[in-house]
Amino acid sequence: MEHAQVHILHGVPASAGIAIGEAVLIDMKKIERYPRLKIPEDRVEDELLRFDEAVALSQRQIREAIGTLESHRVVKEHVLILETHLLMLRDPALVDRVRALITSERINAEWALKRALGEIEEAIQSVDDEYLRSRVADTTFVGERLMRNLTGKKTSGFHLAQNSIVVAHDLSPADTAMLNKGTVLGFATDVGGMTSHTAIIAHSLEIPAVVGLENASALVNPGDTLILDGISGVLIVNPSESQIREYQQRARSYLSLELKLKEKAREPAITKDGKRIRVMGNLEFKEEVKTVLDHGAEGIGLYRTEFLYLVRRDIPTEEDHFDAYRSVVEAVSPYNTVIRTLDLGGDKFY
Amino acid sequence: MDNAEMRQERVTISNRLGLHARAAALFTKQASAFSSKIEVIKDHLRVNGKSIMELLTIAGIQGTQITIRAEGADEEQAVEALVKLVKNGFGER
Repeated sequence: MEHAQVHILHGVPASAGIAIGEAVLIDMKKIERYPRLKIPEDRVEDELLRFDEAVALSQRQIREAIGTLESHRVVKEHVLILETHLLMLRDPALVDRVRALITSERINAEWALKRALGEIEEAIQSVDDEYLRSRVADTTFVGERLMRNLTGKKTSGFHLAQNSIVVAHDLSPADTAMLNKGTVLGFATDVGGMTSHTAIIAHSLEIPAVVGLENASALVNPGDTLILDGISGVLIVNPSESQIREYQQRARSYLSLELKLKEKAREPAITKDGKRIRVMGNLEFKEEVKTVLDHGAEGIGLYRTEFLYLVRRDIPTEEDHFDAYRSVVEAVSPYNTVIRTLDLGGDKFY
Repeated sequence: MDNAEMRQERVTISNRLGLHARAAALFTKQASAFSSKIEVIKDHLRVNGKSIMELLTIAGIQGTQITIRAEGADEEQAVEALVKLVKNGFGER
């Protein structure tokens, strides 16, 4: 057998760490290739049941994702998005419409789903407001999940083999949260930046991630061996034996360095001439407090609160600011926290 | 069609972002808690108040006037609660 071609891709390092594993592709584009069938009248009941089961399975998966996010205390906004997706899965405009199409047109559930989604997306697209129009993404995520569950493509988190590295064009917050830390070693996406859902959730779950790889999902085949370097933002597809050895070595040194640094970090910082110095950490998200304190910080030197704006789609309220600031100050106490109220330049978006 | 057995009230969407996904989600949740049939009417559009997807299609930007209409056993309470939710800018302002 000839050796598969080595590819080295560069992206944005989104969550630190090194992973070596087997590629699992979550292919969103599969939704475009669904069966379109006319069904006989005596199959209508079965088809309705099949659709209901896919809806129920999707709801269970999203609830599970919400549970995972809540236990990791990830940004509240992501939980709210998932709750919106749950509501959509109960929405008569979607569910009743699909059932009606199956019954009256005698078409299979996939086809009916695609048509119902198309109608909804068209109606939302016609809205004359950019912000509201962008909500189509939510209906698309919900539609993709339903379609995947209907077509039986078992790619949703819990069926992954050991040592998987998930490769996708994009991951919804639900997909990312469902990536079980035990089986998923890391993930790589074509799109996204430092503040994308994938980056933030990966960081909170402490799973290495590289985003913005542009064409990773097209280049990688299921089962390919991958090296994911979340420190420098590199993905190596089908690495050579020597590259694997090199990265195994790097992963070991990264881990032992982390451990050594963590131990050292607990000791007080005192210069040779006996001067006590306070080492503090900077924060972008309140979820990072634990990591910063674990690494021995004695306070927060700068809490960049503008990131409150960058991880959500609407404007945070005064209450949201208050809640975030308070949880940071309380967690960091008795040390001090310096809060920067706002520095919201264009540089923060990339 | 508009029989006497229903309640309705006009209200203006006041929050800056309008009836976006999260606001629509709150509205749907609140509406679904009532047994009455609930509709939201804007100009010639009339949508199911218990459907988040339909609510997203009415383009409820800030300043839009909508009519909330309920018909059923708890229509009174439903309209009162939903009007309050919209008036309070979905708790955002």
